[in-house]
Amino acid sequence: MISVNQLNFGYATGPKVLDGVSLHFEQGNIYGLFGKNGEGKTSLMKILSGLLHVKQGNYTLNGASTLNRRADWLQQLFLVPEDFELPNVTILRYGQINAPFYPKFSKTQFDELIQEFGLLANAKIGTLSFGQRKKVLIAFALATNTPILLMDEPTNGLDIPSKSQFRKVLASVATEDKCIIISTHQVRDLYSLINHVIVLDHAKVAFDQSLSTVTDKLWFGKPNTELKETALYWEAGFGGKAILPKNDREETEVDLELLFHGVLSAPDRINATLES
Amino acid sequence: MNNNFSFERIWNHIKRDVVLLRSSLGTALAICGVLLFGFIQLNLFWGQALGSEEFFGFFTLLYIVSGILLSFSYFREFHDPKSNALYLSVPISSAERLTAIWMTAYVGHTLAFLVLGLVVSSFFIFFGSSLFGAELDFVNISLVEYGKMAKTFLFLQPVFLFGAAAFRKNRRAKTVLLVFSLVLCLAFFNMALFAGLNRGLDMFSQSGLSSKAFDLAQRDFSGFGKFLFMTILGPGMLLATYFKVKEKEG
Repeated sequence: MISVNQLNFGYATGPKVLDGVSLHFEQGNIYGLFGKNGEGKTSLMKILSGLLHVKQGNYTLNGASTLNRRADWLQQLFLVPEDFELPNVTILRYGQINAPFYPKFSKTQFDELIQEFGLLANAKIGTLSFGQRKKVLIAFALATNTPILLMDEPTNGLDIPSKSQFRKVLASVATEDKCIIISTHQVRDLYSLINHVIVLDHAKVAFDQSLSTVTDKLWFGKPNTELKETALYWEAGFGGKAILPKNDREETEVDLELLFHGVLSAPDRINATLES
Repeated sequence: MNNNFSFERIWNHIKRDVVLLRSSLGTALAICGVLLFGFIQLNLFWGQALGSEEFFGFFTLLYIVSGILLSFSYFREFHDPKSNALYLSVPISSAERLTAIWMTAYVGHTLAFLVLGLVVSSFFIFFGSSLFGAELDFVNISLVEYGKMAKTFLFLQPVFLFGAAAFRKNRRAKTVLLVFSLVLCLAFFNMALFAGLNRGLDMFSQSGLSSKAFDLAQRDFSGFGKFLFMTILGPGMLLATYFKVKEKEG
């Protein structure tokens, strides 16, 4: 569906943000794009949505080049940016003026999501908090029914109940024909939602694996201290947590935060285990 | 039909702009209506008459100034770092976006002023003559006058659209500077062209050169100058705006 090949990107002043990044995104998946602040997540999201152009490398959508911002290409995706401002109109009116640009927009779905998020369709967007405005945008994004949904730090500004509500809503709309890419540095927020992990570090792809592969090959938990030597990554703390090669151990739930820290500390060891 | 140019999307964008800018548009129109109303009223009180020239002079001023100021509003989302990601990811091509903006900023504005002019003038024609017994010359408001007014704005507005698209900060001041620079450049170019074409007349050797030079001219090149001026100001600037929009879109 989406292929980026050897992308290089940087701003006029400053180091490279993306250095030879190659990724492939397929329908039916929810991708978690992780990385520390300033590791190029937002830039990659903007490149994928056509808001930034790369000088080197290429980006194709369903095999076609995306160099020209064609309207029919833009209709395939919706971006929920991290920082945004919505016009001061009612939620209903916001839907009315933007919906005609998206052929598969569902008003019923939009109304239902707005209701699910506890908002009133007649409320003026200007009177809503940032978190509520984010919910309006997420509801609109989901109702557009675009095959590709890009979300940059979608849980920023959402309170704890809203975060779990977000996960529930997103899980309910994630169908086989959708490709959802969520970028975040709050790894825990995507717990039980994503099925593929990508980690960007030092402008490169440090990790790109499906969660099923991770589950098959890695073990997460609190091991005996004698296993410390064999651990791929060990996190000190109460009891300690570690990532070990799964081998014959029982299957464990993927600890995304631990995996993220592990990838940042020992990417080569973890990748080698997954590829073995 | 070309997928990259759809009139439906243009129409949707126009509707979107009008809804989002309804407050600015309404306020501008209301202010112009009040000013026009006041202007006519003062003329009737003082002179008991209002010629179509006076009316159109003031009306054109309002039409052009408000049109220029509103042109900048259409690019507000375009430059706002907080809202431009959402604005620019709306599925519409650069050509469609610019066409929609131009349709609203020029065609829409001209039609709105046509209605405003007709409403305010009809009001005075009716009440002014019946209540105050005023002599109202502008009864014969003709479409020709509106046409002239709209034609001037047609070639002037793209310069301001370009300024609105190209500059992120101090857009109005920078655009006015751009207009002055353009006019100055064109004036120099015209002078050089005029001098070159009338070289044999030795016109720059005398004092009071400009008037003498024009007196000595054998051929009138004003038509060519006008064509050049209009080409640069109208379609040329609109094309430059298109490339500027395209460049900023990503």
